[in-house]
Amino acid sequence: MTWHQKVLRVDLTAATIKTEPLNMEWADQYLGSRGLGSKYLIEGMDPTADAMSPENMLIFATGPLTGTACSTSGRYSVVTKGPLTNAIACSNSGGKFGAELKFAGYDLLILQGKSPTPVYLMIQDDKVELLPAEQYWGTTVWHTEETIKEQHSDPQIKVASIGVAGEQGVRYACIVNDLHRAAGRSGVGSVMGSKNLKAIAVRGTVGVPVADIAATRAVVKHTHKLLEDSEGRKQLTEYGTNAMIDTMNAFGGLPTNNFQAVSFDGTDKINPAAMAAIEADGHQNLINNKACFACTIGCGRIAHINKNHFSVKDRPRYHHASGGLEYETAFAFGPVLGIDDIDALTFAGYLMNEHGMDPISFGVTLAAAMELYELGIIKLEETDGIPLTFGNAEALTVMAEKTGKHEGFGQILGLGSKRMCDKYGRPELAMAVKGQEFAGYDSRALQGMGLGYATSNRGACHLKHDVFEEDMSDQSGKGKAEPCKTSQDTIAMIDSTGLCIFTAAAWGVPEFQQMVADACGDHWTEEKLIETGERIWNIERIFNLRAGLSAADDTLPPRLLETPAPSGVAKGRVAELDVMLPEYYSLRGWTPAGIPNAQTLARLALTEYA
Amino acid sequence: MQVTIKAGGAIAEYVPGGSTTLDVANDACVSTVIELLGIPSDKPLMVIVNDDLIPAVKYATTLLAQDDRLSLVQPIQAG
Repeated sequence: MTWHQKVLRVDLTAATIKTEPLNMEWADQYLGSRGLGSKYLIEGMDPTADAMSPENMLIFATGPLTGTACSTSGRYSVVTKGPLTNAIACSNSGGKFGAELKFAGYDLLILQGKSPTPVYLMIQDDKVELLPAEQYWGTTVWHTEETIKEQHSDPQIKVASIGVAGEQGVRYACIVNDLHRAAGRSGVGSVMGSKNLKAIAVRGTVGVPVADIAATRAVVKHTHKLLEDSEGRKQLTEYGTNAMIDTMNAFGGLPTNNFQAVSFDGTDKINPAAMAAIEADGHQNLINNKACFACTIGCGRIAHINKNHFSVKDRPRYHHASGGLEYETAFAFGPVLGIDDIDALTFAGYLMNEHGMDPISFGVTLAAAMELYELGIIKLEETDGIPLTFGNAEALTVMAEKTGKHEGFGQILGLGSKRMCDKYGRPELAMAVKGQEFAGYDSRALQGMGLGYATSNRGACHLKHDVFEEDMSDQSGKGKAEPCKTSQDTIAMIDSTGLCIFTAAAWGVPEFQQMVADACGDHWTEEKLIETGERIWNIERIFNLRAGLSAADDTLPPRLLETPAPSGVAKGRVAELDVMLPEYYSLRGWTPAGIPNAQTLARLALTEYA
Repeated sequence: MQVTIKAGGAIAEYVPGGSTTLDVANDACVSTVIELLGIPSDKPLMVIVNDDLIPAVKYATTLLAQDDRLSLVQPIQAG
């Protein structure tokens, strides 16, 4: 049993800290991390509460495999009600913070209420304190993390913190841990800021209990080898996730200029080959790859900005190596904005980590602002003198910084695309579902992706389903509902183990079953894991229904439903949501109104939510 | 006849500079180009000719035409 069976609960209003036993009945139904956090959330708060109010809960949830010797076991989830979507938010991060929380002896950390003044939470095994954070308030993630370590004279402390964006309520502010890993999506950092909680610092020396070391060693060795030999793993290690940019560009699924086009002429300047290329002055963008805790993939990139680039020329604090381009940052600062300046993209990535913001939501919001600007709806006098034209790299770097600091037009961009486009009377230009912006895949070219976007419980998201294989072999909407539903359930299970979904390049349900059974008991069969994934998907859905969302929110913007793809393999197609969604609801055992029916609730032991 | 090639990711290793123009025979098909470039048959590959995705089973029967644009990329699944 790898659980400590201990929850740390902090009431920020009352400034009380207590531990309580982990509800093992719930752990047996919801596994851990994403699933268990969702169960604690729906049981602990009113889903109709304002996401930025003290009534919202903020849950840091590890999985049963977090902190173990399994590959990629550094994952944890932040579960809360999201301020971008008013839906359930589950944001997953790697790095080392999650494992350290487990090493300190806690499975879940639950934060509720609101501190009257800025504080940070210091966890050193059993010693847990709320400490004043006035000296950190108004400063960056990087400053906060480095200074907390210095103040406590311990470089091994792991820190998860927010920047000014989270303090000021930027709707897509994230929580950054280990300087450049993040619980990135859905505005979980804004929730943390609304609670006057600047940071969580943790140092753990308890470790993770292992029942049978020999059995654990055997399953870890076996799964490590599978991953080592996997072609998909090799691609991720060598090229990082940004290898996808060439694939999507060739396919015609690369959103460009706010989804007005599906391919981009400038990918050669921002793809993995460009990152690795040595420039005329000898500079190279890519330094090396980087792995999270216990990860044997290493998809992360560490990069360097050319010191002569306009963005950092007189700013030496950005002359160090830091987190580099991944596919979603390359997409969100590149094609969707029409920009091919690799140093500008890399700098914008630094700013996202420094100030704590989701690059996808920021980039796609800026893309909508650029379209509004080019339509003459947003005026130059509103944008602090910066022309928001597609292709303008300065607009990217300046607006990223203004948004991070909540200054000038950055305050408008901080609303997210939905609220911003509503404000300007053009809601159809927001490329979002449930208020959360799309990732770098156009759902006219990838139909199953479109269904996944529309039905994702946290708003548009590319990480909650996996229909790539089906989408790349057939461009119609037929046959996409079943793999979408099945992969959603499987990924809900993987997210709840405490491992990374990229391991699915080599592992299937049988491998996860071996690891979970080793950690939690042999009653965790493959069937139980799959059923648990489906239960998790449905509990998230039930939270959203109780929060006031409905089938009307399972949709896509008119641009994708009505305007045919202008080029690529899906040229002439629109997103066929009308074909896919009814079949999806039926497969899920939901009514035509998108509500789990009585049989589904009974089958998944969810009748209490009828 | 001439066709243009653009390669991405791991496939770019077989196309110096990532793009090139190839002289091929008038009866050349997709398989011809793959062989000319030396891409191993077990390498995960996605081929797009102009705007058409070519399934692997049709590499040997899809004839090319003058000025065709071939994109050779990885069918990677990551984001």
